[in-house]
Amino acid sequence: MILKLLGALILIFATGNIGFTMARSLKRRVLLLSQLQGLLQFLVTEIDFAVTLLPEALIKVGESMGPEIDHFCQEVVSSLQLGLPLSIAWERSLSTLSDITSLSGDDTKPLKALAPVLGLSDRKDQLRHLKLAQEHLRQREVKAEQEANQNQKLWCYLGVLSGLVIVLILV
Amino acid sequence: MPPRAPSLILKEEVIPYLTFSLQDLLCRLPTELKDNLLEIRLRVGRPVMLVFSDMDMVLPGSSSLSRPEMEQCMQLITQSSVYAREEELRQGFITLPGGHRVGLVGKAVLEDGRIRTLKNISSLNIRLARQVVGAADKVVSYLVQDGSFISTLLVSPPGCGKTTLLRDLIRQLSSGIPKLNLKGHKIAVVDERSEIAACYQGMPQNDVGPRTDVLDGAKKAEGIMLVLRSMSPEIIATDEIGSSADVVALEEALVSGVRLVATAHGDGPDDLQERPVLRELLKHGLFGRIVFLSMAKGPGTIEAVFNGQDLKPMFIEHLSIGGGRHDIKTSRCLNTDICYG
Repeated sequence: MILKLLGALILIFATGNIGFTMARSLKRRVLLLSQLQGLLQFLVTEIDFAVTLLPEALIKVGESMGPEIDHFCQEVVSSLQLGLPLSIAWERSLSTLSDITSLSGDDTKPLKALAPVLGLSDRKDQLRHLKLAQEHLRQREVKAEQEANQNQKLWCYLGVLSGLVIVLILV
Repeated sequence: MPPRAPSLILKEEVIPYLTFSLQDLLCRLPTELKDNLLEIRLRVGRPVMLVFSDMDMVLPGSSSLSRPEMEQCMQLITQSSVYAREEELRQGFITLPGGHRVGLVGKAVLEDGRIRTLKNISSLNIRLARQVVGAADKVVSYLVQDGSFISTLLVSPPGCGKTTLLRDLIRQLSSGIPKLNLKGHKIAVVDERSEIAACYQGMPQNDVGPRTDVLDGAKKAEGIMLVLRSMSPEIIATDEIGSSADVVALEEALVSGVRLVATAHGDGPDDLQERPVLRELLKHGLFGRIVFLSMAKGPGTIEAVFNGQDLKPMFIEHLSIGGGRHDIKTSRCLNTDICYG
């Protein structure tokens, strides 16, 4: 009997955990989207006022952001140092970013759109592109937040309850 | 630190800014050629040319340069940050770390009739910087009297080593010359074309001495007034005096008790009276010494040193300032002390 109870508890704990992880990743996605906007805002400042070179700006911004963004920036910079063009380095690092985080491919689209233009035109043009990407990211963030609010509780309940259902079936 | 071989400088400071295909071909050049290389010229749709002091050649193994290759070179040279190089693009050249200069042309984008920027870059000219430490050794004794420096004008046609001589003169005046009992001076360099100090992000890439302040990229006339106000220099150095505004600014500096060292374009002593700007400079007695350079014995031959007051030659001789990329023999050198290189 005790064994059965223990098994049931472990099962509920496991499924519950899966549910909570899913819920957390929804929240994490919102946070990442806002951090990506922060990244672009930082680049805007560095390009507009400090006129910092892009690799330097990326290293700086990485240090002040979360680990995922830092990793992304470092990857771009190291690809640049290998002599890759920025467009390719940027796109590659973006796909790594969406692979290792909860960001979907659509979430990184606004940033992907920057690949062919980033660093290749004068200041005015750069700022225009960055602002546009920022706006698109903000829209995605709003959407992601709505989804998170709707689905977060759902995943938590789903996790625990599906565990209970399996226990009931098994018992 | 011993000076690095030119071939090593080429490998470390210039080759990384080129596309992989060109990197490989350049690395494979014989060291002798790499040591004497002056310019690398890239033109879209045409083969890459290497320029030496007495000849040029197509880069062995290179085919005509494609547009994407040129674009990649541009990305590497601007470090994917065209916006940070806007002003330099407008001027038509970019300075690389190490002081190497990349001249570029393409399609000019105009705004209000002035060049706003360049796009579709079609030609690059990478000029390798080579500071000749000791270039001024042979003339400097003529420019110092009783332990003080006399304002000097360096005159020559283009490519004769004016700027090289000026740069070393600045370095020596800034450090001081114990042999001539000359103390180190505070020098302000107004480097309009970034050629003297070759600043990269504000840092001089050439050795211009410990007491030297560089104002990079400012117009000469405006820059001279600025450093006069802000840096309390004892000597002001500038390159290529050409307009009457420059002359006015130099006069202003002279009134403030600052000595000058500058260069100007001119073919020889006869030009002193013929060129309006030179005539103007002499009329006001701005310069106590005038040094003429020529190509007579290769780049950097010192033709003569004139006294600026009475326009009498103090010294006429063909002397090489050294550092030419091929051997320049100094002939008719009477004083072994001033003959080397």
